[in-house]
Amino acid sequence: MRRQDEGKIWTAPRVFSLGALARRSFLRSMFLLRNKIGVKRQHTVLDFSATEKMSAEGALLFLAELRRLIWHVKGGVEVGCILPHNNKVAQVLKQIGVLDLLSVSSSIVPVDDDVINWRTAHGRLVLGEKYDDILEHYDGAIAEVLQDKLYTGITEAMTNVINHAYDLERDDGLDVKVEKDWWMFSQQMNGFLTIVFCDLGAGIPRTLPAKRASVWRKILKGGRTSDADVIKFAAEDSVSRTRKEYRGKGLGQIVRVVSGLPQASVQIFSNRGVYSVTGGSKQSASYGDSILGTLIFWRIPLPVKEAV
Amino acid sequence: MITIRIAKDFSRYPAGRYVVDGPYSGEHFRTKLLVPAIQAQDKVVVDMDGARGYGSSFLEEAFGGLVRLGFVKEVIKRKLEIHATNASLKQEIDDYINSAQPA
Repeated sequence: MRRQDEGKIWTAPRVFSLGALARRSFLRSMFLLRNKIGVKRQHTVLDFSATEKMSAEGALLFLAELRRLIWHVKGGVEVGCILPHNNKVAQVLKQIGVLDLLSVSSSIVPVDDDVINWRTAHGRLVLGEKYDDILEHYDGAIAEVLQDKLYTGITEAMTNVINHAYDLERDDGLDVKVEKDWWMFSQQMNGFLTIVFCDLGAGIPRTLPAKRASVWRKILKGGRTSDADVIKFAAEDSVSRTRKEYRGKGLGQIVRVVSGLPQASVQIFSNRGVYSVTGGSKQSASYGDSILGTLIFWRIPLPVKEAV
Repeated sequence: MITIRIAKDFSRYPAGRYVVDGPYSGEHFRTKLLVPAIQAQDKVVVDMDGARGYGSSFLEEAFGGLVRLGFVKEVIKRKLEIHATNASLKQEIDDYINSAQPA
């Protein structure tokens, strides 16, 4: 690397993940990426040479941030790339479209089973047909009733994005003209189907007080207002509520996808909090850093004999 | 009597609440197919099978939205017949009609 290039470098994290061990470092890297390209508008080289692992949720959040930044600067900032040493990571970057987004020509061809099964979708409306882009492949492999619940959960997540997520400005210091983007991945690995859905909006803890005032009043009454508490309360209220109110049930349908599936789980990350349901067990946690948006992560066991 | 087969006559991918949400929203379905059918017919059969699925936003706006438009609940229930292999859909639609209030 030439000395004059050093200031251009954005060093990609070793692990792209929202898992407890990697989250802080990963989100710090996302902050630096936004700062370099979006705020300072510096020509930037994304250096993936030290990256060893890309989890589905980390990869999706990164792809969403990068697409948003490139859209924001509209060609005014050059963004290049140093390819990873890790072959698996290189295949993932090719498969999910990062290398094409950066116009990187390479001989990398995704061939590994746990890479070629990554499928991606992106949209700015509630588009049910996008479901088939990432999940039609599993028709016949997973039960029809589960497909039905997944379609419902995913399209309700899209509806939440279009109607709520972008009503407030994102807290990232960028003056980005609002487009109601969502991004989605599916991935099959180790006998599980993973589906990740995200937006880069204001996050549930910020939009809920205005969009679901009655729920917010209940939260205030309980005195627990951390991001994790807000997501937890909103999701559980949405699941248990009778159908007296006709709006805001989407979170319940997002959680219900995994009901009755002992090994399945769903995690709802929003800003500084996460709420997760695994089997009958519910947990929530708060962090000091924010993902600046909402990300939903379903993990569903595939039938062993029918794994596709 | 008229039969509306959602998957064939509207879309295999119904989703979203309002027209601005996307191309196959509950509001669009109600406006394009449901309201004209209820206004013109004594019996309207809605066949729900064949679509990918139905979120609460779509169903509530399509059917609960009839009440907000001014249709009388008893008239809606008398005219409307829901055919669905998934029996819970019929219950869910009934609930939305019962819960909705005229605007």
